[in-house]
Amino acid sequence: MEDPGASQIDGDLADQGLADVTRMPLSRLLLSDDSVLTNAVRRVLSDLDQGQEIIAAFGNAP
Amino acid sequence: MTAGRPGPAVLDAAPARWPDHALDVAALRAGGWRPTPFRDFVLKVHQRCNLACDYCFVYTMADQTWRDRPAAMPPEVGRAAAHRIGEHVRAHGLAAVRVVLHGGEPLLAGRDRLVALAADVRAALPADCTAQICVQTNAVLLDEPTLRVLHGHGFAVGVSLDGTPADQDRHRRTHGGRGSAAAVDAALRLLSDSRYRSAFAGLLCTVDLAADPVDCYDALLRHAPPRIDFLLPHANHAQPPRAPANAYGDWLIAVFDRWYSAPAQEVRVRLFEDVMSLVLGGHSRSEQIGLSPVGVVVIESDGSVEQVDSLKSAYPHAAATGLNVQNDPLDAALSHPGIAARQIGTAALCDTCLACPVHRVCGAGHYAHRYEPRTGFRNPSVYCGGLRRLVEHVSARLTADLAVRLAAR
Repeated sequence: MEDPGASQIDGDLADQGLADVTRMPLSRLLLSDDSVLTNAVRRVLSDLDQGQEIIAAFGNAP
Repeated sequence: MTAGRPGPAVLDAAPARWPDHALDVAALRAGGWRPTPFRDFVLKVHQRCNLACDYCFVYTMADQTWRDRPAAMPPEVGRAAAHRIGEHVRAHGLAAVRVVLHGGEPLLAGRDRLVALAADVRAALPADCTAQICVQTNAVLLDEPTLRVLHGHGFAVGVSLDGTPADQDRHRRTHGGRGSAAAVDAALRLLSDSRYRSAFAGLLCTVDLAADPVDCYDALLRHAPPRIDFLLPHANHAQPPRAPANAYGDWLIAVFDRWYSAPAQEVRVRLFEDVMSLVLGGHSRSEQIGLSPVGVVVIESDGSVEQVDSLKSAYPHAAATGLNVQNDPLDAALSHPGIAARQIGTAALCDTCLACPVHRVCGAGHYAHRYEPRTGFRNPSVYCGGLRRLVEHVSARLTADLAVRLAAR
């Protein structure tokens, strides 16, 4: 599938301050580094892949 | 269904103090909503503390019920709590849970008592359920014999630390007024040692505007924690924070920029990771931000089942459910309006929040911070301005960086 390109992260979601990871060329983005940004994208993809309900935990313990 | 806005059950015209007098849980269930089972069980194993932190919501804010409860959780209450946790796990087929031994200061209960309580919990669980047992401590009593025992029994240890020694000693003092930084530093040297490091769960830091944000973060990082949590001091519309909300947002933004700009990620910071995840269309994992259903229940030292102890910052008995593990299953708490209110997503938000463009990320912030005496908990966070500033900053950096990276490849 052809990469949709960076412009695809704009649009309706951007109005809410959101980005749509499903429309990004992730294979290129995720190849290289261990940055905060790349790890954040990896975690969102992993959550989507697992498909489990994510719950909020107690905030007063790590 | 665990999120959304099930309108008919939310009685907009109902009297004060949402949700207690305005959220019809039976109607929610009739409309198809189902509660989310608890996965985090917070056991208040000791009500007293060997520190007297000046911002502590347990001792310095509205609710003073700690005075009337047993100082230490009696063994029979611990066994009843373990039984109820096991019962809840079986009823919902849960594969993994976390049990947080909390206080006051949990180490005041003594390491043997903590080990016995953990054994009771593990014995009560089915074989196919894993339990992480966590102790959240101020670390003043965390000496090597104690750490050896906790590590040997598979405990995870979280430590409260507010930054540099000066930051720590500004608020986290003994009852006699002495600072705690030196004792906590000694404990963290042990905990980060290779022999015990697998037990290190992370650091909790309460935001203090008097602290330099980057110096504070760097001081925490020097202990090589696997995770850092930044907590806003508990406040609400009746007891507002000491400074304007925007100042807290700016403080967090300074830490975020320092953390985010590292070439390789240095540590996990749950608040920031949650904001980034939400901006990217994912979910939050903490009750501080976002709209994920909260799966937390608290069991006090007398067996009382409570919603979450941060509500004690609002008004006396705000966290109460009227249930006790010696008489009631934990499932009964799932029908309490205060529990349901933290599991129904946008249906718990006020109209002001719903009109805000970042409400799906912010989620009105921490539930306790929304309290206003006349209306209850259906309000924007008292930290609203700061949270919005943080969310918009993170969103802008993320979106800009993604665009640059994708265009460059």
